[in-house]
Amino acid sequence: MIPTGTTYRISPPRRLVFLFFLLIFTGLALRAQTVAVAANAQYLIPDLTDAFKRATGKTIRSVVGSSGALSSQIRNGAPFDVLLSADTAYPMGLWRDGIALDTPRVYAFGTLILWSKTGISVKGGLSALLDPAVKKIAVANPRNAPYGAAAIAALQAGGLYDAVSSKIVYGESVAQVNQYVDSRAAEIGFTSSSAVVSAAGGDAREWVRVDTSLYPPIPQAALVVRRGSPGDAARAREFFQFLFTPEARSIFLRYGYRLP
Amino acid sequence: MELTSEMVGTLLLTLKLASATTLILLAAGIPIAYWIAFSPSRLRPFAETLISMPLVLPPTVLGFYFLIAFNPAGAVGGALASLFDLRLVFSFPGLVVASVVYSLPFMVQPLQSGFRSIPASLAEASATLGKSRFQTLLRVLLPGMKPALLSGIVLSFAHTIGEFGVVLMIGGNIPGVTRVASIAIYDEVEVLHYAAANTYALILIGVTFSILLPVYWKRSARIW
Repeated sequence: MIPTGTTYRISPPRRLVFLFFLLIFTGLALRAQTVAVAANAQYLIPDLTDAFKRATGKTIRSVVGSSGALSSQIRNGAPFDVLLSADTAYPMGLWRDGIALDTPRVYAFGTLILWSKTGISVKGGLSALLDPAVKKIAVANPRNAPYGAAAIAALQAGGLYDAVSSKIVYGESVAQVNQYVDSRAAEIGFTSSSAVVSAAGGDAREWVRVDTSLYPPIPQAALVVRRGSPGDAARAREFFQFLFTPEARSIFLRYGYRLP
Repeated sequence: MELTSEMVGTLLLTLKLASATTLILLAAGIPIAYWIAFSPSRLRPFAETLISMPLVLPPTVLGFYFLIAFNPAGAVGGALASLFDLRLVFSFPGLVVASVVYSLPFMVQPLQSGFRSIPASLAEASATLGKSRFQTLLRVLLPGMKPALLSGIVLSFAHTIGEFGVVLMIGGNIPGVTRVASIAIYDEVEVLHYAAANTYALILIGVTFSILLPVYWKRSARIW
C-alpha cells in the first residue's frame, strides 16, 4: 500500500535543477566532435568540415592553436577528439604516452612560403630578405612551430642566417606570423601555403614558394585522442579516416600542401 | 631547479622593463594624479574613466591597437619610423610605452587617494607661509603621502611583471629584447619543458611576494 498523507512532489526549484541536468546530459550525449587544428591548417578546416558534413551529415567543431599548445592541452585532458598537428613529433609523443588511440598518420606535407605585403619583390626567393627595406622578418617560433624550424633551416641552407638573424621576430605560430605580415608590422615573413592561398590568394605577386631543397619536408600528422566512450572513439575515427579520402586530399592540394 | 644564463637574461629583461615603466609612470603619474585630485575641471571624470580603463579592458584590446598604431606602415608608426627611426613593434621601447599605458591606473589611483588623504589645511598653511604650489607639492604633499607613493611604485612594478597579453601581441618574442618572463613561461610549456616553466614561475612568485609584502606590512603596521 502506498502510504497516504505523504505527497511526493518535486518542488519548482528542484524541477529546475532536474531540467538543468537533463539539458547538460543531453548536451553531452549529442555533443559534436572537436578537432584541434594546428594554426597552418586553420584556413582549410572550414572546407574540410563542410565536406565531412556533406558526406556524413555530422558536424565537427574546430579549435585552432599551435601544435605545441594543443598537444599540451590534450595531455592535460582538453576535450579534443582529433588532432591535426603541423608536425609528427607532437603526435608521436602523444602516441608514445598512450594518449592516442591509433598510430599517428601523415595527412599532408607543408609548403613553406615567403610572403610580403609591403611591395618587396619576393620572386627571387630568399634574396628578397637582403632588400634594405626589410627591417623585420617574421618567423614562427622554431622551438614549437615546424614552419618556423623549416624557415630557420632554409635561412641556414641558403647561407643567409647570419646576415639576417638580427632582424627576425618570432610569432607564436604561423598564425601570428600571418598577422604580422598582413598588418605590415613586419615587412616580410615565412608562412604556410594555406595562409597565402586564403589571405593573399588574389595577389600572387606577394608570395613565393621557398625552394624545397633548402628545408627538410614538413610532414603533418593527425591522430585520434584516447578519450570518451567507444561511441565517441568511433565518431572521431570516422573524421580521422575522412582525412585520407580523395575528397579531403583534393582540399589539401588546393591549399598548396603536398600529399603523402 | 636549474637556472640557465638564458633564464637570468630573461628575468633581468623583465626587471628592466618593470623598472623603466615604473620610473616613467612615477614621473607622469604625480602630475596626473595631482590634477585629478585638485582640479575643478569638468573633464575630470572623463580623464579618470580613461585612466581606469586598462583595469577592465582585456590586454588584447590594447595589444591590437598598439599593433595597428605602432606598425611602420601605419600613420603613427610611420611618422615615428621616418622622424626618429623608432619602431615600437617588436622593440623594447615599444614594450615600455605599452606597459606605461597598461599599468597607468596602478600608479595614478594610489597617488590620487594619497593627495586626497592630506588635509587641505596643510597645503593652505604652506601657501600662507609663502611657498609656491610646486614647493608645497615637494615639501608638504609628497612627504605626507609616502605610503601612497610606495603603493603606486610597487603595484606598477608588479603589474608590469605580470603583463602577458600585450607583450605577446606586439613583442615578437625576441630573446634579450622582448622575451620577458611571462612569455618565456608560455613558451616553455608549449615545448613541454615543464621544469624550466616551473623555475621561471617559482622565481616570479618569490619576487612578487617579496615586493608586495612591504606594502601590506606598512598598512597593517599603521593600523596597529
